[in-house]
Amino acid sequence: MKPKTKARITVLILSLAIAVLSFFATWQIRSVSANRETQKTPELARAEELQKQLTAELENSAKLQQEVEEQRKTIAQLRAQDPDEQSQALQGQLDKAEMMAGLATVEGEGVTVLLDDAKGQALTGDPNNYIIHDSDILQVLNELRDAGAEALSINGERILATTEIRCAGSVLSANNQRIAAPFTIQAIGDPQKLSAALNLRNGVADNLRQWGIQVEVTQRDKIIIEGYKGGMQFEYAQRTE
Amino acid sequence: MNTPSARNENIEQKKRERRLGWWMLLPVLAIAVGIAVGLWFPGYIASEYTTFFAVGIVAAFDSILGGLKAVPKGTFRLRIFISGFLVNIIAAVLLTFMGYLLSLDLYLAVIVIFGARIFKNLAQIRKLLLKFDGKSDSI
Repeated sequence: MKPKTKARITVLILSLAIAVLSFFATWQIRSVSANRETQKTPELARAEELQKQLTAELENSAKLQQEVEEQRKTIAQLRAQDPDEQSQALQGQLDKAEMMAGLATVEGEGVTVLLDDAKGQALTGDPNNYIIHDSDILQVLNELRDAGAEALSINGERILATTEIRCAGSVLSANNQRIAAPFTIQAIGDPQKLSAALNLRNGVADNLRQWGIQVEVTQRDKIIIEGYKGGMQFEYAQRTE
Repeated sequence: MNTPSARNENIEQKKRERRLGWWMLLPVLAIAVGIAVGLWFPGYIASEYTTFFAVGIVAAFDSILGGLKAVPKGTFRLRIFISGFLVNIIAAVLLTFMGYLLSLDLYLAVIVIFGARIFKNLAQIRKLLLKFDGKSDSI
């Protein structure tokens, strides 16, 4: 074999080996760095992600809340201007509609219901039965409505037609705001009827008290329930009249 | 005809006969191609296997350096290179695997030995490129 060919073959084989080596080395380095990344406990990475999202969303909602406040101010200003007959009629309608919707702050007589989890009782069985659940709150609210409550709030959150009461971990969520025990439900209506409805034998209060959940119903001469100050959007519902 | 000038002429002729010109670029190309393919290759090596690939890579590296040393020295033998390349890699991987089975870090022996050889070969390559005719043991 000519020395030149021999040399060429040598270079060829060496280059082949070098190519194989650099391929595997590159692949290896890539794999190792990728494996290192996934080894950062996936839970940790996810918690970081969620934390970032949460902070972003909180900022966003704070900004939006500000916007809502400003809009309300503008509305209040416009309304304060001198009205003529037609606008007075419209104003009356608007006021009524706002009251019905729960947007207006209202005051009147009614009851305050204080609910708290069972305290230090001998807990036999499922501890879940001794704490307040969303269903308990809903039962109380329903009973109050049945007894003619015209405005309701829980821990300061006005109950609207779209308000949810939902278990969220160890606390509840209402109007997407977290509220925790002890719960204060305020209801404006006939104090006697409201309190009687709750305190019926085998009624809502009775059932809750059986599990040691503290229920305190107090009649009041004057209750002020704040209007709902948050935002509301109707994506699906459209007016037809 | 054994005069010094004739002898030099002979050596020069032999060198010319072996001159390769563009072919010398092949190794450089090989590195580039290898890296490129390695970057584009889909998927990763599972983390359990990376040790084996690592020792294989070290063994291959040592083999190649040995080859690169033998070429300017004139002692390159194709069969020795190819067989050494394959056997060293297989042996390195097998040793590592045996170490895994025995719960003993046998791959450490692999890297120590190959590491030493890599340095030795590099030194020889360096000396050969600088045209130093000696075979000292120092690096």
